[in-house]
Amino acid sequence: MKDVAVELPLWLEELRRTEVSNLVRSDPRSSGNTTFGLNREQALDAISWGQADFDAPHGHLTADDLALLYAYWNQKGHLEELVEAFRQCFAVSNTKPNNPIVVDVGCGPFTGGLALATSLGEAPFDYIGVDRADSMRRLGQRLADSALVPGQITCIWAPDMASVEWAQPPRWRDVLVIVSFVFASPSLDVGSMCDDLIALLRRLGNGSVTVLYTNSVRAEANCGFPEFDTRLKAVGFRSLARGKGEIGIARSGGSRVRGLWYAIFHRPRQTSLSLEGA
Amino acid sequence: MRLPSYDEIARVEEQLDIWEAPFDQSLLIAGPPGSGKTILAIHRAQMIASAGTQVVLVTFSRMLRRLIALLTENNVPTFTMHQFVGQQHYRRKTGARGAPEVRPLVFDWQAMSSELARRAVRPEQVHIIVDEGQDLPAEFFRYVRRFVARTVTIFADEDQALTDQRSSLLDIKRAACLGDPILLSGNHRNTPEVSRLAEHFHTGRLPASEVHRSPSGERPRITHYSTLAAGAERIANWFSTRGGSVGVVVVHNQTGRQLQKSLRDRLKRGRVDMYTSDQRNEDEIDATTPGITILNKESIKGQEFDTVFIMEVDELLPCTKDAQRRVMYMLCARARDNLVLMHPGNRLPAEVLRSLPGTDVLERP
Ligand SMILES: C[S@@+](CC[C@H](N)C(=O)[O-])C[C@H]1O[C@@H](n2cnc3c(N)ncnc32)[C@H](O)[C@@H]1O
Repeated sequence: MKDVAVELPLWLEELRRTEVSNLVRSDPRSSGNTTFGLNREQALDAISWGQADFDAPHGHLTADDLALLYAYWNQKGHLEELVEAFRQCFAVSNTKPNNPIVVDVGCGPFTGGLALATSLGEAPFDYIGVDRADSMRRLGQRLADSALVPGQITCIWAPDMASVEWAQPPRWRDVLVIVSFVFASPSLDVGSMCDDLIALLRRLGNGSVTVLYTNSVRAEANCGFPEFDTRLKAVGFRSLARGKGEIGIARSGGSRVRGLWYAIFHRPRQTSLSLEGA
Repeated sequence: MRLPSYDEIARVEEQLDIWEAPFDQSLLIAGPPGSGKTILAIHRAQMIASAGTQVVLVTFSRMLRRLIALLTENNVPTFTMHQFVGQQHYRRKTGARGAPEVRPLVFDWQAMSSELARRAVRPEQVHIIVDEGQDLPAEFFRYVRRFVARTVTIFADEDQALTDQRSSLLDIKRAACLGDPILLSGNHRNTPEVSRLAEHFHTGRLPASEVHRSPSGERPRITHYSTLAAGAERIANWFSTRGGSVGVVVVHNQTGRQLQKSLRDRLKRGRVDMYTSDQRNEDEIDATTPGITILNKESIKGQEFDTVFIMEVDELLPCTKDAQRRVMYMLCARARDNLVLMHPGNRLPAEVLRSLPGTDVLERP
């Protein structure tokens, strides 16, 4: 995607420090370079590189410990990718979505919301964070509630898309769907996720929908993608971009390059009402 | 009603789709209050007429027929569905008087169809444009396609339907053999404040409209009147200071008549009209000019006023059924700038108060 290192804004670094790193570092089990007594490899293993059941305690680690470990070790890279992806998307069209509704599928600790708040600055949006793990939603909610997060973000959290409590009538607002590093999870059934997403989009209204998919470059992680692609196209989406990309990231010891798999789909506002389809 | 210029219409991309749709194409168009359905219907009719095709506009109510006649200066034939069907029957059926009815004002579509089929009546080269199609029975659309017109353009909003004989968009689509409806999204009529109260009563599947006007800073409100004379006093005062076109909705025509008398006594200057279906006096009223027009909920359909007073609103609330919500939704959306809900007596029952939106949307006790 680009070679200059992505930088996260200061508020986000500060948020991560106060709500994630300090909690992990000050835990009595952590010492030196370990987090809750685990070195990096062991920690990533405990959270199965992000694919764990984050509600199932692991050894001496509680569900909330696992969510924190994820935020500590994995989330930053995903934030950087999404921030860069949004920067490019909004640069191309030269407009930012106006008060969009954001659906973050498998949201983890508010990752898509934090990345979008970085890109949109003070502009408002409604955020729907869907994650099966209670611990992830708890952590996400805590981050979202922090005064450090700019803008006016209204959040709704749900364990699955069918139980999203969306009280507003269907409207013409733009929708942004974020699917970041979810497709490798063994707990994800792509078919039913598509059914749920399509049903949720119908409840939200007829505005334009943009889907941003990011994932690891590993082929196994993306094996559900062809089905996702087919299902989206069947309901009027066009694929605007996809492929393997790279972003530059800054880490202690200099900048590195991170590979990722990305795709963008778009469906314009639906000015025809499908009467018999639904 | 304010006729937007072509520029204004053309600026709205979605309306352009309809504006530019081929004249021989049948269309179903759904749009919320204020999306410009009547104006688009009129423009389409005028374009088709100027291209040399015969075109007829059909409406649900006499008041809307009158409004269209005013806006088109009578240069597009416009009828209510009842007038139209009666007249067609006479013309197509060698002069038989009046179309058959199963009861007053309800046509016997079955009898009519078999009669016309027996006479091998076929649709003709005429374009029928229907406004407020949701309040017409599905049989009407079937009848039009089978015996009257080769092409139709139907505007409808099922979320505003009032009558027992109403048709859903799906009913219309099927009966008139049309494609899926084109949706209009913009509300060019109401202030955001008025629209928010209307939306409070909105049910149905059409997306809530995008309001294009800027906030006025004036929220709708609900107030009471101790006697009808006191209610008339408020309306008269409002009209004296603010002017403009004022629509007053009554639940009972009797109330309307008393109100009209009271208002006329109070206002030396200015128009105070009341339309009732038994008087059929719509042609004496020009509701587009400054003045007060008293109407009931059926006859106010399709109209718009700068200010709307909804009298006897206690009889329309609380909305426990979708049918009641559709009425309130439609009524609230008649107001361009100001909306006042009024009820007799000095307090509303607790359950009514509970059913109303908060003070951010409605000025209320
Ligand atoms: C690797 S994390 C990604 C989190 C976030 N999207 C990010 O990029 O940081 C995967 C997340 O998906 C969630 N998840 C897995 N299967 C899911 C499902 N079927 N429905 C909802 N969430 C799911 C997990 O609980 C976990 O929080």
